Amino acid sequence: MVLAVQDPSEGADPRQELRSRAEIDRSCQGPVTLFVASAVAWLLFGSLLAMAASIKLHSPGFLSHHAWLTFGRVRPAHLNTVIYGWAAMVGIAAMLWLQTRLSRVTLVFPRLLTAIAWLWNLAVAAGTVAILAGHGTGVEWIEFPVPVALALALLFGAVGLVSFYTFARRPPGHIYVTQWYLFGAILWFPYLYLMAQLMIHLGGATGVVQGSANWWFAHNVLGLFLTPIGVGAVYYLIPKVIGRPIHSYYLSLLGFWSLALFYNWAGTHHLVGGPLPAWLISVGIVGSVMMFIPVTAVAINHHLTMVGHFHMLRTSPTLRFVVFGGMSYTLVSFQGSLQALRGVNEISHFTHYTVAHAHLGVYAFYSMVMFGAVYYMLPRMTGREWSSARLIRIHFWGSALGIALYWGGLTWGGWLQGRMMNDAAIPFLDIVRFTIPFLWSRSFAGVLMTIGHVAFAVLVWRMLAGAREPARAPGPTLLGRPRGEREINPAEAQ
Amino acid sequence: MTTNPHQTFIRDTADTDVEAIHEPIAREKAEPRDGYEPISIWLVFLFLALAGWGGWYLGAFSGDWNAMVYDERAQAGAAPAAEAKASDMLTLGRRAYVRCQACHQPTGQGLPGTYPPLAGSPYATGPAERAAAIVLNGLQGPLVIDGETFDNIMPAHRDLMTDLEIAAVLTYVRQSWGNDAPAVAPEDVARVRAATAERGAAWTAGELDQFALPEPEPAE
Repeated sequence: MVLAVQDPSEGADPRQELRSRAEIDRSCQGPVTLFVASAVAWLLFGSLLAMAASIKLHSPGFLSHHAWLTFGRVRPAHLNTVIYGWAAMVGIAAMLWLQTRLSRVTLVFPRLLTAIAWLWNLAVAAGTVAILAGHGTGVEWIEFPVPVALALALLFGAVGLVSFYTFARRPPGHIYVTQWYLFGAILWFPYLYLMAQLMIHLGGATGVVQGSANWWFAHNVLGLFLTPIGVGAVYYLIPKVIGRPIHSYYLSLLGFWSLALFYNWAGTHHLVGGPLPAWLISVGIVGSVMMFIPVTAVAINHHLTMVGHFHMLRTSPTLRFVVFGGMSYTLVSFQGSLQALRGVNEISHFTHYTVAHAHLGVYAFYSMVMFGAVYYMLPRMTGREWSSARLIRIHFWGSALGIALYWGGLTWGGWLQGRMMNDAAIPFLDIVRFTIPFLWSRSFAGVLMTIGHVAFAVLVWRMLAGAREPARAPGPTLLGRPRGEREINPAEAQ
Repeated sequence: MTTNPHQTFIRDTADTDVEAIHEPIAREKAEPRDGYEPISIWLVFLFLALAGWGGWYLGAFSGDWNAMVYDERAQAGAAPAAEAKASDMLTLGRRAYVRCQACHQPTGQGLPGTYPPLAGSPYATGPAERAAAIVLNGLQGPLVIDGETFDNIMPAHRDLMTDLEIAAVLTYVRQSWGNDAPAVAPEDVARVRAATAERGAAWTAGELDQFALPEPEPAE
């Protein structure tokens, strides 16, 4: 039942519509491409650090002769480069572009944003060097030294102001659901990050409270920063690519506000069994389980929008990545809600199961959506088409199979590991030995994902550098033949 | 129309602005819009059920919303568990020993010429009741241990430590640093405490050498 579908562009001159789109994308070109290119560079660097950390877990002698490359430094360096380098920068790129497109105004202060991108790179580089040099803070998710962290918070605040100012200049009209999520990320992240610095590094909280502040932050940086950007991008890209309205505005409302209401409570489920008042952990568990509401609402909304268009996953690179990411969002969130329950957590906590869960969220959901967003954005920024469908396929299958193997191996191994750890009769070293094959599967998965990232980086490099590409037919780079065209040459289709 | 297939433009020849629009922009679909399908009533029921579960869980596992309750199974307003947890006397004693170690030292060796040792001391490893009496009322005047004379004052701990603490610390002292004497129970301490309730003064070495616990009042 459709009550009132009002296309704002209805009645407008389609030529005018095109022209304003082109103008918007031109205004975004400088900063957005710089943020994307930087993000891809951090992704590659973060993948190398990840491989080093992963290999060390089953082959401890690997790269262990230099203090800079010991596990205790490489692992936080991996986390911080992929979160604050890759995820944050590609997220800012998507955020800026989506906000201008949906506000129907050009981006303001592009030069300021370009400067912010360079400073951001500088800050992440400084923080990463500090971690590798042994000056990390040792608090998970905020290992960057305080001056670097304050610089990042300030820079993000500036990006948020520009995004808000862009929004404020829009002509009056409907505010699309993606914009709500972007505002969520803009408002929540600087607050979270500053509060974490004040509470944890600058003495606001001590002892047990410090631990709960740490997990309040670490969980919210996923749920109230990366998740809204990712979900917002899905809300834009699915209807955009398939050309059909989002299923239900009411589900969008429910999904957004229940996320805003419940997510913030969830962090203390990381401290189940820890020295925290019982009520604080119980509240975290209830907040986590209540996340079923926003996630189910969003999943139904996206699925019912997609219904009848799943055949497009064969052809559209953007849609394939974005739908993979959207489905992973449902999976990771349901898993997370169940994992918060005390009975499950007593087994999964302190095992590789948790690591698998974290990567399902940040990689299978967020990163895959962002890959899709980049495949959509960059051709519009540059006017060029992706140079090779084969490389896109390598990227997709490397990433998709890689994360599936990663998650499957560590979830399975981690669960068994947890059950063994709860059995006092099993010596600890036996458990460590038991996990080794699963750690190898993680390294192998990491190789697959890294191959995907290299293919992606080559594509982005070729597009931005404008290198001479092999002759190809004009039109979009598709992964397969669209459905309608199959009839043209049935012999070839077989 | 195009020279480079990767940079295809739709050129608006009617417009003197000569808008160059990239092909990817030209071919894309309209900006997303909202549909207005209603939310399924079953979904609403499901969400209400979830909220109900959340309320029940908080009621059952909130530990009375008390910052000092760490066990989520502690029921709201319930009396403390009937049976006290069995404590490890040695651990309790090691903690309680912080009161003693300023003089007798963490090693139990005391300070030569000033504070007597506990390691190997017959006063520590001798009768449990005598040891408890020393802690309760203190000790003053010259004391000979292993041929060395100490002349100092040990204050009374009658009002500073509970029976359990004194029993624990004595157990710890009597079983550490090479000492190997039987453990002391809180009941033993309680008996000594009652029997010596009237005595205000600290013990002297002479009294302790012929120590006998006064007979308790016969029960009526």
